[in-house]
Amino acid sequence: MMPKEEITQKEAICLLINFIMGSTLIVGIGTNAKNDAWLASLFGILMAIPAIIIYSRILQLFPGANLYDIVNLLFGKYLGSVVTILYIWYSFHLGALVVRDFGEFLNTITMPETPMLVPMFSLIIICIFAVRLGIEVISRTSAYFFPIMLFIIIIVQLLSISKMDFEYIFPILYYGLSPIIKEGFSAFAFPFAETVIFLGVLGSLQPKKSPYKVYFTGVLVAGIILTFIVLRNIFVLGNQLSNFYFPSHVAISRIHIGDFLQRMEVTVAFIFVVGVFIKVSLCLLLTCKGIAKLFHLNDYRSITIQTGILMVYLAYILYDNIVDMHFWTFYVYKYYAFPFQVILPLIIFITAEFKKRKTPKEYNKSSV
Amino acid sequence: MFVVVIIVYIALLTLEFISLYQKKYWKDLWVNLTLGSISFIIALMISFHLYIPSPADPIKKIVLSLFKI
Repeated sequence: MMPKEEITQKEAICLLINFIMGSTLIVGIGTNAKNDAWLASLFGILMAIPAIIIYSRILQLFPGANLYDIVNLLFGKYLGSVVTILYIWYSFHLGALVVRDFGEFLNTITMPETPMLVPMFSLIIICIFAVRLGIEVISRTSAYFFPIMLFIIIIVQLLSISKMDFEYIFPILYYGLSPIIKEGFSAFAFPFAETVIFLGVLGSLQPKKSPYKVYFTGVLVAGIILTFIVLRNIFVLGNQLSNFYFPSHVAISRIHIGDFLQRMEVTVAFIFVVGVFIKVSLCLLLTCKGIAKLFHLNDYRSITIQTGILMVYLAYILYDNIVDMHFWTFYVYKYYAFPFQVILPLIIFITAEFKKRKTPKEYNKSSV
Repeated sequence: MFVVVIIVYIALLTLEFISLYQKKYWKDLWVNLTLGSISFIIALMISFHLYIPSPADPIKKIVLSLFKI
């Protein structure tokens, strides 16, 4: 057996922030609420707080265990396997969605002639390497890249002030509350509650570190950064926000300062690539760990290559075109993801609390 | 195109299988073989431009019928 991998609290927070910002930075959140998108984003954070309390409580009840250990311990062999399969599918599909976002972005913006499989394979090769090296390497990479990303975001934010028109934010609440609630739910499902994936990752957190702190700091910081980005997009683009597939890219491409500061959109692409790399790696890691747990394999590393390649194929066949993808991301995904993000964690949480009260001694022994 | 697919898969499988075989991890070998054959079939279908049904469509239909967006 290899020694257990451990990640520090700081690395875990950076990992969480990168994970949330991953594909959201470029696809945008709450765009259908037009110039109230920032309210939708805030509402999404508010909705995410109960969910992350549940996730953190589950992790706190089982220190050192990942999602599949918890599920097998709670539900036994057969029901546990069913839940394991559901989460394998969810993380696999989520990874494929993010890979597709990446492929679609590169295909639309920079390389329209290249077949979409090429950027997708380039991404997945790095992700397979990262997953084979383990969670420690992924988290250290994210801790290394996070300050660079933050620096770029702040610089771009400052540079785009020249193109901003602060009038665009008015009228606030012109269409009433209902689009904000709808889009807030969308924002909840798309970046924030996807952190359910971290139930399988934070088992490697250093002992005696609180998952509450990781979850709250990560989600709040990422949420604030995302809200600022949405505000910037509104100030630059106004209520045309929902007309673009990649609003951040369009907003930044309008920056022209003098003759030498232009074409800043590459910076967005850089941030996007880093975020997507972290997100896909974590999804792939969780899928491989799930398959390894399901079939009682010796090591999850041997199946990463095949799972990664399958993920690319799923991403490739998933949609016919970008319109389909946009519709799926903004209208279908929130309902589809709800069972995985809320209902199943809620069942796990209730069962865990119930069992913990019933048999405290025996239970504590098995969970350590 | 499919020749490239076959060559790449042979390379990948031998790369992975030899180490698993030497360690005598039979279960890992079987799971790997199953996943590998699924992905090989899909790769061949993509290289022949065959239509593969997407799982996104049935999910979309179910969600749309349930929630009437």
